[in-house]
Amino acid sequence: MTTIEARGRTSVSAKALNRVVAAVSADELDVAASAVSVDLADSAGQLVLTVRSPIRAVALGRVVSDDALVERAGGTLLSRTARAQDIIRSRVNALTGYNVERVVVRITGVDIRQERRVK
Amino acid sequence: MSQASSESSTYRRIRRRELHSPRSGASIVVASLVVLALAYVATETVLAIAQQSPLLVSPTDMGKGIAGATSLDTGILIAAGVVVALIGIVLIVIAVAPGRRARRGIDSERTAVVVDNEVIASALARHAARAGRVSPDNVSVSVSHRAAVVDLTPASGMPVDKDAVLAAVQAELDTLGLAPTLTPRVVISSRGKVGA
Repeated sequence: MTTIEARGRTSVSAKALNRVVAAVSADELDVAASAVSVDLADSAGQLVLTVRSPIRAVALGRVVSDDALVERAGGTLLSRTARAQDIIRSRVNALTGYNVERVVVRITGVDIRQERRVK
Repeated sequence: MSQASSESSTYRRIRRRELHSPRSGASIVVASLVVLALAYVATETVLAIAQQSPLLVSPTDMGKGIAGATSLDTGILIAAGVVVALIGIVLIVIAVAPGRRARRGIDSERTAVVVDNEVIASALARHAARAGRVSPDNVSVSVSHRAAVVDLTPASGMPVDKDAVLAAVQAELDTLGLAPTLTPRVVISSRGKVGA
């Protein structure tokens, strides 16, 4: 950051930032990026991200029959969402250079897919 | 030697003329009104001497009218007085105020250099934008007689180093060598702009 003076200025536009956040969130929640909608806001000079997205989950019937399935799928929905918040924050900062103060993740739906055997 | 001093006094005079507003506009207006009024009175006087009928009022009626002004309605008298007083105050302010233009001189030994405040403001804005790492669109600078105020809107999530901006603006002011000097002030907007 100290040598940035000599290099000039790089700016990431709101539209690009929007797409980056959507891609990172989609990656983390394991859904398609097109299903994610992102809202960028300012709070006293700080960046606040609001992400609305479905989350991929395993079928409820399988959870009942297999106790270890939730652990295998990455934890409960809440813990996965909480982890996604942290990862979105750090990855967006790494990719765009913006300090993200707050990430709000709203889970708008569940994308249920069957667990498959690894081939 | 005398040549050099006369040159510098010429430049001083030119600089003063460029930096201050001439009062010629107000003087011309006032003088024209006085000339018209006096010309009218002269015409009426000549007509009265030649014993012709007056254009509007004869000089004697004029004198009587002025002497009997107190018999008029108080409201009208007060209104007229206020209007006349206002005109007088405006003229006094025009005469006494420094009449500075929005420009200033730059120190130079060889010639008289005068720069508009807007030019200084845009130079400062460019340096402030670079030092604050914000888009030039998000910097506005206003330069008055003594102060230069730099308003900066940061991009959300990109904190701006106020001291760095102030230092850059001060450095630019130092290189310009303005007379009178400007005191910079940096104001960073509390609200940022997303993706700017």
